[in-house]
Amino acid sequence: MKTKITAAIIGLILAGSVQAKDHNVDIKFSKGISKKFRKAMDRDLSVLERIDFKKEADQETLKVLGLDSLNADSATKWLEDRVQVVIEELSSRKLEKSIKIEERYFSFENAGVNPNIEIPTSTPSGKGVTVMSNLGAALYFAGKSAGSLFSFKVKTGFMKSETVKFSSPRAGLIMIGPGHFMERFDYDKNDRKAEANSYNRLATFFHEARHSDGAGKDLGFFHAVCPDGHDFQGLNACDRNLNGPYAVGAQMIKEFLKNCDNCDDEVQERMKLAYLGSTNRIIKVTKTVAEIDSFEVSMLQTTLDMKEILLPLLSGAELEAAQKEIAEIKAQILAIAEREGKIIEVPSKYVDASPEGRRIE
Amino acid sequence: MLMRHLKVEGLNKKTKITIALIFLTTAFFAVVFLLNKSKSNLPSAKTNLDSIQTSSSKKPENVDHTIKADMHVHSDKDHTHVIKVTKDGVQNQSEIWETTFFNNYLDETLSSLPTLKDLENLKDKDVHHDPEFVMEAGLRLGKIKKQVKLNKDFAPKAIEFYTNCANKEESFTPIRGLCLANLMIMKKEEGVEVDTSKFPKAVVDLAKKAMEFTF
Repeated sequence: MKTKITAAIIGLILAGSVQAKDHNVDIKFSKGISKKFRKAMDRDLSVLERIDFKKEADQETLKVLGLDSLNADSATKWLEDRVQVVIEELSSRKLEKSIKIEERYFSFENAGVNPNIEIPTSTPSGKGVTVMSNLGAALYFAGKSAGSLFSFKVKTGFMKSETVKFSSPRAGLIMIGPGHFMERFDYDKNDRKAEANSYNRLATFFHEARHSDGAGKDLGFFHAVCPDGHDFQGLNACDRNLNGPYAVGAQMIKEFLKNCDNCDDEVQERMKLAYLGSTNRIIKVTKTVAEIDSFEVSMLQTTLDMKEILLPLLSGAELEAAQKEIAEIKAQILAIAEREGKIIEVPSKYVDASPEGRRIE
Repeated sequence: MLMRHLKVEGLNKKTKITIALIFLTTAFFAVVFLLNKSKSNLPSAKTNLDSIQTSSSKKPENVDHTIKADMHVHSDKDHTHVIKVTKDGVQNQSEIWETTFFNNYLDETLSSLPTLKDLENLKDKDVHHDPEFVMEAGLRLGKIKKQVKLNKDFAPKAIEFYTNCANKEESFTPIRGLCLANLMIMKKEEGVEVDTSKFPKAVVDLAKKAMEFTF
C-alpha cells in the first residue's frame, strides 16, 4: 500500500513536469526557458514538421543547404543535425562560470588552423536585444584555441540534464533571447500564432544552425565585415560566402513564402523584404589588392597591420578613433592599387560546409 | 468520528490518515463544484453588457466600409488597423481605402522610409537582423501592395510612389530593391520596360531577386 501511494505521488510530480509538445523534433530545451517562449518554439517546430513543401525547391536552396530535396523531413533533420540544445539567455558571467574543462590537451581536428575573424571598422553603441546566437560554434573555437575540451551542463527537466561537449561546432548549443519572440518583428501582425510568424523564427533558427558547420578557415561560418558602400559598411553583419547563414536564412524565407497558403498580400510583401534583407548581406565579390611594388603601400600596410593587432586592446573613444584610422588607411591602399590597376575582384564561393570533429556523448 | 469509522482491523495509523486526507480532498472538490454550479445560474455581468452594446450598434455586415473624406480616420500604432470614426461610432478595419487616404498614406510612407543614417543608431545585437524600422517599412509596403491589388485605380499613384522609393538614394537598399521590383512589374503590365541603368547595381540585383517570386 505504502509503495503504491509513493509511486502514485512520484507519477503525479513527473506528469506535471512533462511539457506537452506537438512535434517529434529531436532538440532539447533548457528548463530555464520561459513557458511562453517554449510554447512558441514547440509551435514553430510543429509547423516545420507539418509543412507541405508542395512547390519544388529552388536549385539554389538545395545547393546552399547541401540537400538533394527539400521536404518537412529533410528540413527537420537538417536542423536536428546542427542543433542539440536550446538554452535561455545567460549573461557572459554566468556562462563563463558554467563552462567546465572536460578534458585538457584534447585532440582537435585541423589543429592550428583557425577561422579568419574579420575585425569590424565600426562599432555600434549599446548592446541591443538578443534574438538568437550559436554558442556551440563559439565555445568549440574557444576550446580549440585553449587546447581544451569544454563542456556545459543544461537542466532539461525534473532530474534530467544534458551535458554538451564542445568537440565540434555541431555541439549545437543555441541561446535564445526575448528578441526572438518580439511582436514588433512579426510578419503577421493580425495573428501572433500565424504560421508566417513561425516561418520568421524558423528562418532565424536555420541561420543560426548554419554556424554549426564548417571546418578550418571556414569553421563556424563566422560573419564578415560589410564592404564600403554597403548599408552596414564596417560592421560584422555580412557573409563572404554564398552558402553562409544569411544565404540559408534567405533561402528558407523564400521556400516558406512560396509554400505559404495563409500569407496574404501584406505578409508576402514583408517576407519578400526580409528575404531581400538577408540576400543583401551576401558579399558576392571582394576587392583585394594584388602585389604592388610600392614603398608607400608597404609602409601603409605595416601601419595597418600594427593597428589591427592593437585593436582588441582598445575600447570607447580610442577604439572608434583607431577603427576610423584603419578604414582610412585601407581606402588609401585601395586608391593606390586602383591607380596602378592592381585590384583583383575575388568572387565568393560555396564553401565546404562539412563540420570539424563530431559530437561526443 | 471519521477515525471511529476507520476502525478496521489491520489498518495502521498512517493508512488511516491517508484515507482521511483523500476523503477531505474529495469533499473539498465537491464543495467547489457545487458552488460553481450555483454561480453559473446567475446571469453574468458581461452577458448583460454585451446585450446592451449589441442593441445600440449597427452590425458590421450592413455598413459601407469605404473611408470617405468626411470621416475622421487614424491608424493604430502598428498600422495594423485603419480605424474609422463616424457619427455612428467607431467602426472596424476597412477593406478598400478611399483615394485621399491612400494618397496620403503613400506620401507618409515615402517620407518615413528608413535611411542609412538610421542604421548608425543601431545597437550591437541589432545589426545582425533587419531592424525594427525596416520591419515597419515592410508593413507599410504590404498595405500599399494590398490596396493596389484591390483597386486598380490606385495604380498610377502607386507607380509614382515606387519610382520615388526606388530612387531614394539615402534609403535602405532592400527597400529600394523591392520598390523597383514592384515598379518593373506594374510597368510591364503597361507594356513598358523600366531603364534599370539609372539605379545602383545592388538595387537592381535585389529587384531581380524579388521578381523571382511569381506573386
